[in-house]
Parts: sequence; structure tokens; C-alpha cells
Amino acid sequence: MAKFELLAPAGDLEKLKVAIMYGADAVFIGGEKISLRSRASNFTLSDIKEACEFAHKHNAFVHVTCNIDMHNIDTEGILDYLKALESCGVDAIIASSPAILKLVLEHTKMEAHVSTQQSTLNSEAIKLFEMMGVHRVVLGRELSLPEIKAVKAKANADIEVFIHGGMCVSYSGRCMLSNNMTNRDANRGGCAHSCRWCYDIYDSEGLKNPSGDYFAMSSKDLCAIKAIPELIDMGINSFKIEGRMKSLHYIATVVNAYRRIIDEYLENGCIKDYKIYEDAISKAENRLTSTGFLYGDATINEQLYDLNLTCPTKEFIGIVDSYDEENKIAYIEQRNYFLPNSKIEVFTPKGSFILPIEEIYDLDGNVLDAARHPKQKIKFKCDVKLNPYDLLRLI
Amino acid sequence: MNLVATAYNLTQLNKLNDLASHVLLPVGGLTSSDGIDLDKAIDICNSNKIIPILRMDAMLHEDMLLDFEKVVLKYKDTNCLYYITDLGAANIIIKNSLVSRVIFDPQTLICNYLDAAIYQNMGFEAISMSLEITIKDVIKACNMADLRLFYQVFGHRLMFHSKRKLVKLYETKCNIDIKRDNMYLIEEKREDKYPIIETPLGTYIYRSYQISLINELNNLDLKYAYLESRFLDYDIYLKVLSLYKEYINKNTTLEDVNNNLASLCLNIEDGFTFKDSVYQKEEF
Repeated sequence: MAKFELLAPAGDLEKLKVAIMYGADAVFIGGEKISLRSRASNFTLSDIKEACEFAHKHNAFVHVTCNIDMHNIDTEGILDYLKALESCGVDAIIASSPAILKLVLEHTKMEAHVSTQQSTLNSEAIKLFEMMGVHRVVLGRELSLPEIKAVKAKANADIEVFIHGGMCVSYSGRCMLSNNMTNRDANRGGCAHSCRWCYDIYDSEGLKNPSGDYFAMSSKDLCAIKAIPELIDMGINSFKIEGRMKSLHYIATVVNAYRRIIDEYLENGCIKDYKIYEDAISKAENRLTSTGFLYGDATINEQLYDLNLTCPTKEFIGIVDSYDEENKIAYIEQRNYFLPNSKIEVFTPKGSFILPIEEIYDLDGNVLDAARHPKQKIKFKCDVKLNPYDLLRLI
Repeated sequence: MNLVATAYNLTQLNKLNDLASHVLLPVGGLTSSDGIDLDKAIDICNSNKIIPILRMDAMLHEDMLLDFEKVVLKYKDTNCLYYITDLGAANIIIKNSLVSRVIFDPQTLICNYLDAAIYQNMGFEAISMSLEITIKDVIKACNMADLRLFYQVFGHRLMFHSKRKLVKLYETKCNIDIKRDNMYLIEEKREDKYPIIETPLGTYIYRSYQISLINELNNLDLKYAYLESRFLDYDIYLKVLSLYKEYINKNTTLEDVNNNLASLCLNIEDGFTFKDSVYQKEEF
């Protein structure tokens, strides 16, 4: 695996391909069984096989999450499933269940990675997992940079750290708010995000929250852009972006920003301007971000008190299918409404540029007054060569 | 079956007498409450022939490992057991050859017999399974993994633990003061009151009701039946404890116990005892 692996989420095959095209060294996905984020688990075994073939062709790796807390009934057929994943070419299994980790280690050649659901926070816990034979431990997100450094210094197993995306406000794997309030099992993919709801808080004197205000527990998303150099210097093996439920555009945008910052630091030993990467990421974010626990205990700056506060996102309007070099025509698939005779931004793995477009056509050559239908196939004249998986944005 | 009580201060511990065979004693800085004077507490336990269980169920960060080990070693020559939730804590105790004195309770994480067996085989004195699975699942796991089970049979159950000091942060945000006693949350669209506490180790939120598994005790092959006193008047708690003790010792009937429990006007619900949570996969 890459010395400093950039690990991206992918909720389906298309997102997986985009994640890799935009710079991921590895992707993590869920299968149809025993994965959290069940709504994102669109990978059949056949999809997983295709995913692995694509990834390996591009020198990337595939990790499959098997990270639910299984109930007795969920354990049925687990070994067969793991072996089926191995035959698809899967490189690693991410699990919190020691039973699954043991099955992976004893019956397959895949790597066993300990999920963040175990909330591993210290070197002694890592040693216990190392004695089991695991290859990697994903740390809990409650650790500061000095703590991560201290833990990494004593670890023999690879260490994986979250660098971007949603954060549980509870210790991962230990929250039963959703279970108790909605009967939806948070540890089997059904989290209702009860931590993001509105609460009144009372003490012995009565209601305490000011009128119109609610006690909230919600956390801002994590953004560790500025911590990347320090994490690289510590020797962290894998940088993980959360978000299997996130859009294709989000994945491409965030992955590419982190790819570029990692590469800049490895090449130059410093980062010239973090704002470039912060601005790049802001084109896709929808929730406010903070640095989580990286620089110490959470303050009000790490909390999300107003759920209506979201960052506007650059509107993602299409993805390039192909380009006819001879006739200079770009073929795209629409992802959001847009009009002809406008300027758009073309976002590629190598950078972005502005492209003016004139008329747009359907595949039969009929002029369109707008690209209005989801996944509509569209073409337009384009002197600049576009590549498959280039993304188009409104300006 | 051993009854495990809780006592959060020496006054409560003195009232306990011999109503339970074991008592969870909070260790300062390593659990979700203020610590008790351990030396005095252990003396009281010895006088009353109760086995102390040192409650050190914090999620351990690297800088807490040393303090944790110091406590373990300080009391290793007593008859105490150690109640922990963190695997790093487990490894420290294993390294000190004290694993047979550990009660390992990772709260939500052990939900099936395969995982239960693996943890059990580490050599712990007992392990605890999640309370968010059905009693049927617990019984199956006990049978298939031959468990020495520690299980909460009464009281409010922890359902959320965050490192963030959410109450303090909210005070800062709103510029208000919130008294730390008798705090609870009510969700916008619900009526339940969720007790919430905050300590230097973070924020803890509990279920709004108490669980009571007295009717299931004969089905559960428990080594340790744990009754939590938090958020209850301690005298009422002692009455509950007494009822459980009488029932286990076959000095009373289930009917009498239930009638007496009902007279205490507790807020008891079944929780997940008979009804499993929904696995997201089934809905879609």
C-alpha cells in the first residue's frame, strides 16, 4: 500500500471510480452484508469484483467495511461472505467485531483493520489488537495530535486516522440514542442522528435554555487540512475521509484537495498556502467544519448549534462521459439543471478551468433550451479536450 | 448469582450492609462520577463481607494509562475486582497477571455469541453483553459461549457518552449557568426525561426509564446481576435491592416482588428485553 495512503469513501461503483481518478490510493466500501451505512451499501459481489479490478488497474486498493455490531442472527454465513469478498479481490476488511477480525486473519489472506467503532484511543489497546494479528487500527476521533503521535510511536500495526467528514459526537460505537429514541440500531447502520435533534435542558430550577434556543449536541464536520504535514511527519499510514453517503461531487472535491496537499508536502516539505485547499473543499461542503479534537478538547467552535448553517456548494451539473477529439464534441451526463450559453467550471483531477459553452444538444442532435432531466445525456462543442470523469460545475 | 450494588459515597456504602455480595466503587478520575475514598470503602466492604469492585470504566486516553495501572497495582493484594470498559485497560491488567479479576463491560459492543466467546477467552472473570439486544439473544450467547455473565438487571442504563462537555459548552454559548444536579433533557417531540451528567471525562446521558429484569432472572444464567442506583433515592434503591435479594434466595415469590416494586412507583420499561432494534437493511 502507499506509504501515506489517502483513503476515500465510496457509496457505489461510480463514486469509487471517481474517488480513485481524483487521487485516492484506496477506497472503502460497504457490501450488502454487515456494513454500517446500509443505505450506502449498493455493492453487490459483482460490483465489488468490478471495483477491485478497476482499483487494482489504477494501483489502488479496496477495503470493505464489515463493521456492524452483529446480533446472533447476523453471524450466519459470515465466513462464506468473507471468502466471497476475498475471491472478488478485496484487499482489507474493516471490522470492530473481534470474531470477524479473527475469521479474516485465520481463513483469508485479506488484511484485518480494526474499525473506529472500537474507539481505540491508547497504545495498550493497540497492542492487544496487534497480538491478535491485525494489520491496522483506525483510531477514535477523540485524540489530539500529541496523543496520536504518542500512540503511533508505540504502535507496530499501521495507524489510520480520520482527516475529514462527519464526526460522531459520542465515542464511536457507544451511542444508543438512536436505538432508544427510534428503535433504529445505530451500530447496525440505522442511526437516526438523534444527536442532531433539538432538546430542552432542565436542572433543579427548571428549564434552562433561553427561549427559542435549544440544547444541541451536534458536531461540525472534521477538516484536518492544516494537520496533514504533522500527521505525515508522525508517520501515520492512512488518512481517511468519511462519507460513503456523500455525493460523487463531494468525494471528488474533497479527495482531490487532500491528494494535492499531501503531494505538495511530500514534494516540498511545506505548504505554501492552505487557503487554496480550504477554498477547494468549500466548493463541495455542506456542513461547517472544525478541527475536532486535533488541537485539544472541543470548544463551542467545534459544535454545530444551528443546523441551518450550511455552506453553499458549487452546483455540480454534469460528469464527462467521453470526448470526440476529431469533431471536438464533449459528451456528458447531466446531474443538475443548467442552461446553454453560459460559463462553467471544469473540475479535473489535475485542476480546474473555466469553459464557455454555447449550444447544448441531446444525442440526436436536437438543440436543448436547458439540460433539465437527471442523468440526461447531452453533448456540446468543446475545443478543449475533456476526459471521462471530469466534473462540471456552475460558476 | 451474585448481586452487585452501586455506592457513590461512604454514606451509601454504609447503608448497604450486606444486601449485596459485591459493590461497584467509583475510582476518581477513571469513571463517570466523583471517586470514593477507596481505602475507607474497602475497609467497610471487608467489615460487611462485601467484595469491592473498583469501577474504572473510563475510555482511557494515553495519559491516563499510568494512573490506571497505579490503582490496579495499589489494590492488587486486596480481594477487589476491576470493572473496566477499555481494551487498553484490559491489556494492562493482563500484563500484570490479574485478568481473572476483571469484569469487562464494553457497554454496547458485545451483541453476539462469537464476540462474547472471544472476549471471554481472554480470561476475564466476567463479561457484560449489550443491553440493546433481546434477552433471547443474551441467553443464546450465554449457552453457546459458556459465558460468565455480568449484566445490568435494574436501573437507568447509560446510552450515550461523549468526551465533549456538552453542558459546559452550551453554557458558554448561551452565557447561562446550569446547575449540575438533577439535569435532564427532553427532546422537542418526546416526553421522556433523559438524565444527563457531566464530569471532567465528558457527558453521559441515560435512558429515561429504569430497566428491571426480575421476571427474567431465572432464565438468565448470570454470575453477576448488577443493579444501578444512579438517579434514584438511595433508600428506595435499597428496597429494590432487598427485593432482588429475597427473590434470589427464594424467600419471596415473583408476584410479591412485582407488587412491591409497583408500590415504589418506579418508571420501569422493558427496553430491548423482548423487542430487537431495527437493522437498517430490513427497511430498504
